[in-house]
Amino acid sequence: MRWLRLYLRSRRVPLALGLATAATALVWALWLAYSDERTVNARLVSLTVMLAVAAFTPTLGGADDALDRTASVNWPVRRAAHLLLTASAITGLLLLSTVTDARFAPLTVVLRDTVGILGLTALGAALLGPARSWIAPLTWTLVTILPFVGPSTKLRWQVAGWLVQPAGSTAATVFAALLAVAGLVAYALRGLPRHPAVETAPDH
Amino acid sequence: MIRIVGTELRRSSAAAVALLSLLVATALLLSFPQGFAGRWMQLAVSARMMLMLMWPLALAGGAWLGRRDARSRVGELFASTARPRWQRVLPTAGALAITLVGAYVLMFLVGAAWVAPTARYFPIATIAVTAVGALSLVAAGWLGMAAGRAVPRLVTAPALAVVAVAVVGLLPDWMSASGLDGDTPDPTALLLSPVFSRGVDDFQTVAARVNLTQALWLAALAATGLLLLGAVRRRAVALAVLPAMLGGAVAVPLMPAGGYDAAPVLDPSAVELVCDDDGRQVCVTRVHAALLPDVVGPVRQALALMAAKLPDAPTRAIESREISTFWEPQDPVRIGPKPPADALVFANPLIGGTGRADFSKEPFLPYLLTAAWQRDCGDEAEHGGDAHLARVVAAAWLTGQPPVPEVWWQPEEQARVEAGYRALTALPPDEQLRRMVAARDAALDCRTDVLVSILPGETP
Repeated sequence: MRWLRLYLRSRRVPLALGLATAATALVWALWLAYSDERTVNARLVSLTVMLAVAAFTPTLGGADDALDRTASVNWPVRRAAHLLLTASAITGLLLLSTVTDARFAPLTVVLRDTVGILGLTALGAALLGPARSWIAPLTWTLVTILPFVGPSTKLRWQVAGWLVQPAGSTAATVFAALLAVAGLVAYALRGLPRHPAVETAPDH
Repeated sequence: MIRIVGTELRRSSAAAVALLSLLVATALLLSFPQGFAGRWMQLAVSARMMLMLMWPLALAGGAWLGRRDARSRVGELFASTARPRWQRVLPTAGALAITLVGAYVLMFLVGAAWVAPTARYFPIATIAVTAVGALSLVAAGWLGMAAGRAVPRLVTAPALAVVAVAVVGLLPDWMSASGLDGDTPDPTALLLSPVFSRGVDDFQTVAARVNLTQALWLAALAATGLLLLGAVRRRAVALAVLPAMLGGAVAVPLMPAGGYDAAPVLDPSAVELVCDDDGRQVCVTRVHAALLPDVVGPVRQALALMAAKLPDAPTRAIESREISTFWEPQDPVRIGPKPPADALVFANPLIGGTGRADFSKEPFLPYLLTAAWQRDCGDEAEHGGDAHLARVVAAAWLTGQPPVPEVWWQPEEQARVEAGYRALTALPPDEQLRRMVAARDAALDCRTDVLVSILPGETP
């Protein structure tokens, strides 16, 4: 328990959770106030998920990369657990809204978007470091919410716009799962790229 | 100073930010070249639509760059140097502005490869529309830098991008969509957003007043971003907000009322006629001049078919000069006077990805034959779909072949067309001709009732 508490604190998880909650609550409140529909728009869901994941991005790395490689600790398992818990935290956060009049739904879409974006972020973190890992998810989300990208019957557009496909879309689900697995494997096994003893301030 | 700008260009993330938005935006722009191929103004407006993506990316990139000092923990060190802050931030801001403008212009130039080979008409306003777009990116980049400096967190950049999408892209669309049902015009302030989410027609251009006021507002916004970035004291921060407020206060009253609907205006030089006199005269508008070689063949063929069957057949053909607006597609507006009676009026064919006519999706000759019973009537009432079906029957009568059904027809529509054709061809030839000529005379007067009467009633 003590280890977990220290770990969460060292990764600045409370701050990330607070930011993700604030972003979600803001979108939720705006939708509640200004829309007549109960289910939040698919584009807005993907934006919210992306923001929540971005809030958790700094937790993928600690203050010093070298500390995360000390031999006596089984880091791959811990990193994988970190990702899985982050995914469930974000999904859980969004699903809290299902009891209200502005719902982030359906569950499959929320889950697909969360694991896909988190996987993409983790992949970016493993390749470029957490500081730059928000770039790919942000760019992709911005492309997907453009008005002319939407639910499509063509495989190419289903993959490019996987974030906004309807719940039953196999191509989008498979692609999100691929991103999730790739990110999970890369981040869990490889960890962050090794930077020399850091001069920069820890990302937060 | 120049040397430092050069270093920033080489070493900072400014180039990477611009490269990312260039790649993504160009890929998206080229995913639908039919939208602008062969037309400069359409290219400029399509580039402005891409701002929906580039604006948030520029803001996020600026925020990333603005966070640099805090991330490298050099704030205190730099604060101790005996130089004003603005002297230090100016080269970085300049480098970001250069790369962002470069990205936008490069995207335009890449798109120009689909326009320049075929376009015959270059409206000067293209440059103004592009310049305003580039300026808006500078404003976004500098505002982002100021935000990244003020809140040096990792999440600042993506959060800022999301806010930008909401403010620049989604909010104006939502506001104008919520006004669509009523007769209230869109709020003028919508034009403060540099994104053109609605296109312009081929015959239109963007009003100079819109370009000027948008440039004024965006320059003021960029100035605010730069002043915020250079500000050290509270008072400087407060003063930095002034340009944007002043710019907005001056620009909004000067903008034309009606939001996006007011931005496109008719371009008289775009609709001047370019003619091919080598045979029966065929004229198209200047902006579609590249289509002339492609349409001349089918149009002369159609004219010959009409001359063989119709007395007083049209002797020449002119491209239709009607604008159907985005918000009232059923209510086209005619430009200029009624076309002469001896001319066939036809709408331009689809424009393909190379800027030439694309006949593969919609065969041109059958359409041209129906055009003999059609005229630019502006908003004068038409019998909607019935008139179209009757024209198909008329065109079939011209060629002597039964009508070819369209994929989008309902089964009952197809049945009516076939019944109409059978009834018409069962009449004696003189009576057939009399009815078709009467229908044509009425159609030239913008009345379609005689034409529609060749169809059987609603319930055959």
